[in-house]
Amino acid sequence: MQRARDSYEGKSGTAEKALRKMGVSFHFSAGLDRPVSLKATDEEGNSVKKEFAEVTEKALTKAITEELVTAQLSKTGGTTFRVMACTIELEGGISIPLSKINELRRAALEELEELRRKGRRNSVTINWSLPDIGTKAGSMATSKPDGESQLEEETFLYFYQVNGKENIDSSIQRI
Amino acid sequence: MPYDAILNGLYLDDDRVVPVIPNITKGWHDQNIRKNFDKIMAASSKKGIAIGNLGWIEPFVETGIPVIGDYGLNLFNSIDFLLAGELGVKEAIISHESDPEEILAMDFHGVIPEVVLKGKIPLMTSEHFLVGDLNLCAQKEEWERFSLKDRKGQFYPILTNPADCRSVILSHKETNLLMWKDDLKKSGIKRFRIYAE
Repeated sequence: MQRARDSYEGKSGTAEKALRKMGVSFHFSAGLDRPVSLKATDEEGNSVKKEFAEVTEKALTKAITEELVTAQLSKTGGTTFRVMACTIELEGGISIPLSKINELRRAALEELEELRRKGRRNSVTINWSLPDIGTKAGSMATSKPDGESQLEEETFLYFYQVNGKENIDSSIQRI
Repeated sequence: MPYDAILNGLYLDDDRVVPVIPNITKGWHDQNIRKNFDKIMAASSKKGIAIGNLGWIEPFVETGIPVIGDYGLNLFNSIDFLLAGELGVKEAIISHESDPEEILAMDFHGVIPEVVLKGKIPLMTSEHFLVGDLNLCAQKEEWERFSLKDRKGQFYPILTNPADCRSVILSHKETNLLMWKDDLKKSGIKRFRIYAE
């Protein structure tokens, strides 16, 4: 409750803002004789995989490290995601341009976001058709509540305030 | 009937009573509902409970008590009723903004609809203790004398709840859909509401 109140009042800090983002886990894999791949999986189980086939080279001076890859994958600012975990499967002594890792990350998150958007759109099936009202009296074939035929008519008397001295008609079923 | 009045013992033995959870429950009301949840459940067991805010729907639905969507939900089209049904609402009042012809065209998706037939409908709830500005906090008998007056000279009655000092502002004129009642009944609507004076 306090967290909700703080959020409503705009007092929430970075941790709170992060909570509103969808968590994502990355699995990064790269080696000399295989494609560089990045798999991103969100908290709802949506998953995408992106690959670059020909970007690795044998490092002449400085090889790519797990720390460098993790740092690139963690740059999710400006997206609806926050990184929960990174697993790196990296062959030693290879070089990958950092820009390519960033490109992979961006492509994966964009596709994941699109997947989530589609998922949301499809999650509720709505029958948009409205009943044919025909006459003013209405022929509301699809509008009738479940078990309508068994329903008895009821009138509610709604009190904004009571003091115990109200004169309530005995024919009123709910007050 | 306001749930807090029932908790105070009013109409406790009347099995026609439906406790009403207000549309806005932050602060005192939230604490009061949490503290007395079991008592409110007991008072709701016969005729259900009317709830006008989204936050309290799920806790009461989970108890199995029939939940009646109150006017605070402002359900004004078929999609609103579809979503209310998915939340577990069994019955719900149709938005006071809907006219009879719109009501006749709605699909309620299994939720039992209720229509206001008569009375001064609530227009808004104000957090502001309007009567307090006049230093009349202690003179509750004076509270009912006050209304808001608009530029056309129409008077909107103000009801002030002494428990939380919120004000409900009512419409200046009385709604009357009695002439539509037969048509509404023919269309399958069997729940009607009258706002008491």
